[in-house]
Amino acid sequence: MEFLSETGFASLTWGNVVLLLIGAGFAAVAIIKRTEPYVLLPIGLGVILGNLPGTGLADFNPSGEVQASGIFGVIFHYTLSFWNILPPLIFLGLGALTDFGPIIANPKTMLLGAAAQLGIFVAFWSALSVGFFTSPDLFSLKEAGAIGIIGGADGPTTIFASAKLAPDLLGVTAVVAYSYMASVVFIQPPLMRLLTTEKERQIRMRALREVSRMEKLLFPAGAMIIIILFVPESAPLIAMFMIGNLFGESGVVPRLSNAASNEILNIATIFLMITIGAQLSAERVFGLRTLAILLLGVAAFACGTIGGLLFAKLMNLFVKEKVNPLIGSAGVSAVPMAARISHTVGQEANPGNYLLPHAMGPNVAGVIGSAVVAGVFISILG
Amino acid sequence: MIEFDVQQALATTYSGLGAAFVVLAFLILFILAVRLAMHLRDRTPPPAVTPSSYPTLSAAGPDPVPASVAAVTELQDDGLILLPEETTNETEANGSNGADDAEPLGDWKIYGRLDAFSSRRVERRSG
Repeated sequence: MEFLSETGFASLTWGNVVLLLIGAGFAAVAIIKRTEPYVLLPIGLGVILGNLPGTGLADFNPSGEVQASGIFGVIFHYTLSFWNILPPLIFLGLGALTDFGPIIANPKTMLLGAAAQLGIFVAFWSALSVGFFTSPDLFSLKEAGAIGIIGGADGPTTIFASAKLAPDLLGVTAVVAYSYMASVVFIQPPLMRLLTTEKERQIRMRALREVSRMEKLLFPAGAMIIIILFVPESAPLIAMFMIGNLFGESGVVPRLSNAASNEILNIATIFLMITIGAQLSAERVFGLRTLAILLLGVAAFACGTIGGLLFAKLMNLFVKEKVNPLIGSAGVSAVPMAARISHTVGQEANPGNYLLPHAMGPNVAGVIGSAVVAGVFISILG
Repeated sequence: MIEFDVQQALATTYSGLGAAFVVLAFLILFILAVRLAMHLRDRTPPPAVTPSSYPTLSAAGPDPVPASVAAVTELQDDGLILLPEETTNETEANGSNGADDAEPLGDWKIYGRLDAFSSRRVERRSG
């Protein structure tokens, strides 16, 4: 009988059971539906491991006592809450995979990436406004900032900002961000159809010009300097993103470019996702705060989509060559899902429409925009 | 009752949204500046050359300059024919007339010199 009290069954709570089911659900969706498998499978497995009682896998003992910390606790502490190096490493790989051609060919679409950051500020103020109904405030300014960044629809940026501003919320904000990123296919199309007319959705955009190699080399170098001079706190993300891109565009270091976009990106993803999942223990997840973050997250994604769409419509009042407003919704980042959705909805209205390359402009600009806003949040609130 | 610092929240909002627009606007200006610089570079004529020791291509033959070469040729006032370097390389690979004498000149190579009669023919064809 004493043995039974030592097993995990004895300390299993209903909260653990629910999260074990959620973790299994994530893994099942990844394997069966093949939806965002690189995110959902490791996170799902992490959630399962984080909710098996008595393992201590996600524990971290700051006293440095020998063998007192679990592997995910150590990874979480050193790579996220202490040094915060995994998100920049992921940005290195993403940079190597990114093509700046669409924004160089049609730079005005970059403004859509800025407009779609509206969701961040709606979520930020909404998180603060919850204080009208609770006392004391449900979220502090820092926590509201971390929640707001979910609206940037960029996983590594959300994790980077949360680790700096509100490490306790990191697991929840990261999972909410990735979950909604995987759900943009459900969140965005209804809003896109609601806020645009059939005629607007049918707008065909001229094929993008070919961008020279020189332009592709100069852009990441110049952008890195400009952005970091404006927002130094965004440097870890922006610098790694642009370095990765320069590796790829230079064409002279294929081994480094391949390492960044394959080995480093994959290793960082494994550690990051499993560790984030393991942070979602029952005692952290169940509560009013998590429910509020879930609602604020979806509001942030919706408002980011609306911001991009409306700004594209506004832009059409002033530009000679109209843009299809559907590409505005791609400004929320969520690369490349949001761009694909713009393309798909555009093709529903006009089968001859090929919006994907045009939507990649605001999509990539959204990544830069959310990293910039995260840098501002960290410098003011951090 | 609101307990958070409203002023700081407002400052964060203005700064964050402002920074996103300003930074991306600067990136647009940077892209346009690079495009302008490249446009101006492309419009700049190839460097003037003075030496007169390049081989003169005789108009006596059927056509000293192949059509594919003439289409990308810059014809100088003094009859020198300049080709973009890569075109010259292709020409060399094809073993065309005069390419062996080509000399490097920045991104351009001198293909040869035409006599007055042939110059007019090339100008007419290019024009």
